[in-house]
Amino acid sequence: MSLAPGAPAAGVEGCVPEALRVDDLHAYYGESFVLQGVTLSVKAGSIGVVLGRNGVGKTTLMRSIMGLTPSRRGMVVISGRDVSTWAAHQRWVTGLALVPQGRRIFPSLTVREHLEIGLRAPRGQREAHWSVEAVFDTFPRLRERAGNRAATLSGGERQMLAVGRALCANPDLLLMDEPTEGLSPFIVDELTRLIATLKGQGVSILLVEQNLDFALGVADWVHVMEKGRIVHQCAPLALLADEAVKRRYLGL
Amino acid sequence: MSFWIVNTLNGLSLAMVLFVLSAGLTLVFGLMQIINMAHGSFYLLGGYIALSVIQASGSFIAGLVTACVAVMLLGAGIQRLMLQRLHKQELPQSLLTLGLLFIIADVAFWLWGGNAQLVPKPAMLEGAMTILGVGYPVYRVAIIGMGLFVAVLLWLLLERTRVGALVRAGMDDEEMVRAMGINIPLIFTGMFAFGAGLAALGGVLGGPLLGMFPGADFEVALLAFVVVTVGGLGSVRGAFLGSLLVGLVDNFGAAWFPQFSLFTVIVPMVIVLAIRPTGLAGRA
Ligand SMILES: Nc1ncnc2c1ncn2[C@@H]1O[C@H](COP(=O)(O)OP(=O)(O)OP(=O)(O)O)[C@@H](O)[C@H]1O
Ligand SMILES: [Mg+2]
Repeated sequence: MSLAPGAPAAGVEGCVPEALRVDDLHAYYGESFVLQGVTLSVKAGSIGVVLGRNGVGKTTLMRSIMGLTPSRRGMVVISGRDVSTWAAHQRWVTGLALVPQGRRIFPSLTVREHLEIGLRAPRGQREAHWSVEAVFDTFPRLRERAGNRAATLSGGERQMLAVGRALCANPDLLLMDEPTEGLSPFIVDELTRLIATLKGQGVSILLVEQNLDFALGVADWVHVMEKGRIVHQCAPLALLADEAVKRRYLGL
Repeated sequence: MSFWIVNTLNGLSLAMVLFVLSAGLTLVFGLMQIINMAHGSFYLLGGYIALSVIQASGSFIAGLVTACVAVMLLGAGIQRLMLQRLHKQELPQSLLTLGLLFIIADVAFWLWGGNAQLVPKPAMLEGAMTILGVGYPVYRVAIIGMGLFVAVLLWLLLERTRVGALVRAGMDDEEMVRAMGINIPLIFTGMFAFGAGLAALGGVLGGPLLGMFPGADFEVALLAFVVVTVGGLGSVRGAFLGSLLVGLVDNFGAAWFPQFSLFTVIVPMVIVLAIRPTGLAGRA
């Protein structure tokens, strides 16, 4: 089910609203041409996964959707709103939140402060699923460390905090960049359950992953990235069976 | 014995003026990486504006408030209209503030002339008191109190308020703060204005002690740069420790080796940096 040239982005039913549509996105770091026309979409309430080798531009894609790396061409549309020209700090209004690669917690803030400064009311009629207490209920370890500075947290605790911080925004569209990097299998299982919970709440997710088992376990749709483009997309089961694609683009 | 008491108190009162001045410099640097060459100019303007207002109104408090508010507004304008366009471009930002240093120095010379002038002390803090059997000016003791008060206030602001948490987060990882939907340009403007206001407060408090004159901007800025370098860029605690060190060393140095004035301040700086390159309390 590889993408034919000129086929519609998602290759799925057109009637379901899109939480995210990225259209022909181009981005550079200085002169280096990193996103070379990325096109993909995530249906509302679904989980899209981006796979690809190191350095193909997955993080840059997330940064561009967030508005941190400016795009020189193309469009980012979130829940029907074209945010391409919006500054990063304005994009949360669409319900966008980011769990960045490498956690990027604030060492000098306490655990509780991370959650408090991230707190946002949900948009429109949606239910407020997340609060500081709700994050503590999901990650009891964080409650124990509520008053500690994040600099003192372990790697796993930092990842829980990075996820909890994003959840406090009560997001409609969550970007997660390699959340399982360096985590123990136990915490990876916890993340799998959390993603199922979020999906139940109607949150749409775009997930970048290297951990194939985890990614395919939660994905509704898989996008394979190579040299700044989406070169293949399919259902997760189809990818498992497709040895040629796995070898060529994922080095497996 | 009285030599030790007087020089220690002199050192502490100078240290507190330096702390109020340097706190703004180090916070602005820590958050926005701006090396503000014009920080001493805000000090000078604060002192001069207070001087004029006190002469006109007879009220020290009126002078203090007017000076701080006026310089804060000036700082906000400079950040909004000029520095914000040069976000993250450290060299152009430094050159711009260096230009402002010269412009403000000329304007101040034109408005207030070339003679050294002491800012009048508040009437209630005139005269001397006895400390451990030694007569000592009340105003200098009051400055030590004010400096400690500002230190506690800054600590509370930074560690116990939401805005303080946002500022610390911005120092740690500005991009992440933006991704969280926080209006960081507004925080930058606010912080630059606040830093300018602290410098002005330093000028008002230090004015009755050190006087205002052409070149005072440069002189105190140099000491403030030593303070934040010794203390560690971006750290208010560091600015406090650095101010104590520089204030005390400067006083005892001047008492013992009057011929080496600035040298006695630079030597401890070099020693501290040789042992701890990030300063006494620097962020790694
Ligand atoms: N700040 C930067 N400046 C210049 N080049 C960069 C910068 N960040 C990334 N790059 C380059 O851009 C390309 C894409 O990087 P990106 O981080 O998006 O890849 P990635 O797919 O997320 O990789 P990984 O799997 O290792 O996280 C790489 O070649 C990288 O070296
Ligand atoms: Mg990456």
